[in-house]
Amino acid sequence: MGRWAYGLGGLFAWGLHFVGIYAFASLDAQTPADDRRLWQLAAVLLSLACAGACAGLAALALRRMKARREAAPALMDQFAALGAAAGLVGVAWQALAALIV
Amino acid sequence: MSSETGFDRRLYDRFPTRGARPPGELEALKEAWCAPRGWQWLTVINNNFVGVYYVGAAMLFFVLAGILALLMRTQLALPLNGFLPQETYNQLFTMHGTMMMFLFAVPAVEALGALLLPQMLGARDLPFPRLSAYAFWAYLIGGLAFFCSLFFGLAPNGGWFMYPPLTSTTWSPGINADFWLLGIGFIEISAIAGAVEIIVGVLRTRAPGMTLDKLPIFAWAMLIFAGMIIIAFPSVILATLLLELERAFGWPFFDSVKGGDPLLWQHLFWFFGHPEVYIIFLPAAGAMSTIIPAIARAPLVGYRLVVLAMLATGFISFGVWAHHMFTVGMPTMSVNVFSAASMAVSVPAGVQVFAWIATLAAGRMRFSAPGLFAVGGLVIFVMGGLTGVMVAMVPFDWQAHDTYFVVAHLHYVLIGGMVFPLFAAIYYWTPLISRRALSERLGRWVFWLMFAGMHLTFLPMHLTGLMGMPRRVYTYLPGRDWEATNLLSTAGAFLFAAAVLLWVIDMARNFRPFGAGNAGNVHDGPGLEWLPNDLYSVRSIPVVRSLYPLWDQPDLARDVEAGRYLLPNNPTGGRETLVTSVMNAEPQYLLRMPRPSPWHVWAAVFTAAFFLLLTVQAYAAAAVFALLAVWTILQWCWLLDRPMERPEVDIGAGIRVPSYASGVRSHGWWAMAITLIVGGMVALLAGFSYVFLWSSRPDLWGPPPKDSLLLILGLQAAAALLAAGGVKTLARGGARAPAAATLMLAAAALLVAAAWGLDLRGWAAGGLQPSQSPQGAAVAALLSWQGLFVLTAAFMGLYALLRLAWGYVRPGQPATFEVIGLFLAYAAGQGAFAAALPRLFPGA
Repeated sequence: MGRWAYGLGGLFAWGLHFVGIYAFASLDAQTPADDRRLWQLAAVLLSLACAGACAGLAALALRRMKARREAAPALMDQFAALGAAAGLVGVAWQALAALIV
Repeated sequence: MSSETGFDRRLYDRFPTRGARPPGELEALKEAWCAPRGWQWLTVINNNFVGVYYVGAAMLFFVLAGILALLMRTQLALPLNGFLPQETYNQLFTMHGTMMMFLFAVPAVEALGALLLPQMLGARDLPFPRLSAYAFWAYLIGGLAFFCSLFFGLAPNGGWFMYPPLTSTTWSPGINADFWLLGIGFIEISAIAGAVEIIVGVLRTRAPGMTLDKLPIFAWAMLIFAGMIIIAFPSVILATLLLELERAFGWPFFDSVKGGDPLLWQHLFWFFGHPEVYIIFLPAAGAMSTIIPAIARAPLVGYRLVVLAMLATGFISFGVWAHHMFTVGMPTMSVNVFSAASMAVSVPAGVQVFAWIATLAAGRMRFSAPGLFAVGGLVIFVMGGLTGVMVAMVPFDWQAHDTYFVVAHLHYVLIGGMVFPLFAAIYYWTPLISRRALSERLGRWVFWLMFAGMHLTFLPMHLTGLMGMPRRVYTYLPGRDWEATNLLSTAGAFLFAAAVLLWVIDMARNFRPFGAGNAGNVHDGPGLEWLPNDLYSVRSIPVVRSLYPLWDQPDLARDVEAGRYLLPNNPTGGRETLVTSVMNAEPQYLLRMPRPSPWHVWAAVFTAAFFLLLTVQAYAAAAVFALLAVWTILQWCWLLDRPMERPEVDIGAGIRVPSYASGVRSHGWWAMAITLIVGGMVALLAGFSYVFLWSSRPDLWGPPPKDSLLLILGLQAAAALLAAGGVKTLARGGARAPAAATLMLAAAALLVAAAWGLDLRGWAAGGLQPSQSPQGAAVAALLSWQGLFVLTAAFMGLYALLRLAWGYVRPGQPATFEVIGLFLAYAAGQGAFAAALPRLFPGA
């Protein structure tokens, strides 16, 4: 499971970010209207955390690929690097959507 | 690359072996995997047979649902047409959508997987062939019963999405809606059974050396597809269960008069419904990524990127469900996020499309029938994808919602993303299972008629929608400029039907399955499925050294056929396949596979009867058939986990592996773990429903009971510990271990039941009535789901006691008990969740 979690970590971060933003949006609708800024702040903090996780994972995967020095990088390293990069873009895209209200 | 299991990969260098194989081993293989005779055609379990049955049944439902579409198009050809009455039209569009989605699209790709995966992976069969066969029979019987409801005027009529309040008893008082709810619930069981089989099969029965980066792209697609089914389908199972409970007992989940919320249905339905589109698309995309390299004679460009794109599609598809609900008044922040995700999902789809185009450009394209269907599908899918991005934009969606524009969009996506690739797959892989390939000449005609018919039907529909024609209307007034486009659409539908008719003729003329031999590798495909094969799949299981083994290992076919690779015989005398490790496919143990028996067929018949009788509200008779179904399933399981005569066997070139495995290493444990994920998803979504209903009407929520939550949690924890202890006791061994382990498991089952009883009593004592408030209904739903697990735990406890009494519980044979222990531990955890959530949230 560890190898799968590593390889798909960026996509998991995207998923976590999505669930979090959806939860904040729902809570925003349940609570008084004047606390919207609070939920947007929560969305920003979550976005930064998820983006940080993606960036960290991408850096780790790139370092591992460099250390291996093999002609073809290991599949899970490559998935981790590319998935984290995609996750980073996805998190940023989603965060903007949550902030432009 | 380090070893995953401690297996020395230098042993692969012993293959291909030299010298002649001992006489008689091929005959023994043929004997073990012999063809059925007489009634055995019904009880057969080989993928070569069940897979063909399965694809055939899916295509039958495609044709039947297509005929319904023709009837609808005939009605809509002219304004104020009287060809169909309104009620019949409502039933037809509901049945057309439902059948295409539930009885054709998902089963067809699942069937393709069941048929092709064993050969593609170099396995003799998938690890649970009886489960596949059960899934097929359940699907066929359930599907036919569902379809026949049309002839009695009992077919559902609320649309394939069955939105309440239209489908509540107030507006749909007959049993038509119940047919949909129970029928679809039943058919989903079959889809989930197939998904379990595919996941375990792809991860655990690959040919040695087939590491994940050498896994055929179609197998990757099927793996992701099956994973998505496990996550998405519980949602529709829960939704149908809740609506049926509301209809049967008045529990208000969706009835806003009593505090329910119809939007909950939409959330649950589309959490399944939108991933469903990708569930259908991904295997078809996997087939495209297999067929295009073969017809272009070039490796797939960006194999790893394509795999990652499919994985990303799987993830993102779970974040787009609410784009079907842009017009219901969701919070703006939610709408924005779902809109963003809906646009983002087009990126991984685009990666795949560009990979296909690049592969075609890199190779030399052959415009054979499969090639035409693949390229045609690509064009249509791209057009559908572009309108998909349009409706992902909220302001546009507000305009196009519930118009024919959306009908056109979804048909472009589904026909381009699934139907054309499926026809490409049929024309490409038929030579593998038939003595004759399908006709190239007829195939080209089928393609061009279908391609033209498709565009003629659905391209004008965009305009019809933009001009304001709503979906699901049985007729329309003249003078709105909808006449010409509707007439064109009808003409196109008949052109499409002509193509399908021509394909049926081609199949009747040339498709000759189940016989000795096949037409061979006429498309020069590079995958293992094109190795010479028989009912036992390949003669010997090859060591895979490349993503395209038949292109890169020129002598492979000859050596495999000569028995120079692994498992060239059947060392235990029965049906077997090799189980390998998840990442690197290193040999782990020999899986002894079942021979055909009638139990799975009876189990499917009785399960179908149970659901059908529930539909007509014959509850006593339904209970009898439920018991019969349980009895047949117990009979089926009784034959599992048999004593083994030889603990280790030689699988070729002196490599020895065990013939028995238990725990995390075993395929049975994996199947149970995946099944429990389904249960967990239902519980999680029931928890979501509870919170959602509270958020809708918090004023209707009362305080939780004052009994001791800690006592319930303590009992569940003790049950989980006992279950784990029972498994460990049996594994440790000793003369008293079987009896002690059995008693511990039985005690664990009792504790799970006791905790559930306490939970139930607490709410009953507090006076909470399921039919009186959404809180009562939501709590009762959680408790009912847990009750199902308590009942199953009771059967498992009884089963364990029976095995002890028959002397089948042995220290060296803990696989069954490990599976039961896992189930009981999970049931305890789920019980704790069901007790804690309603007591702790939203608080007193």
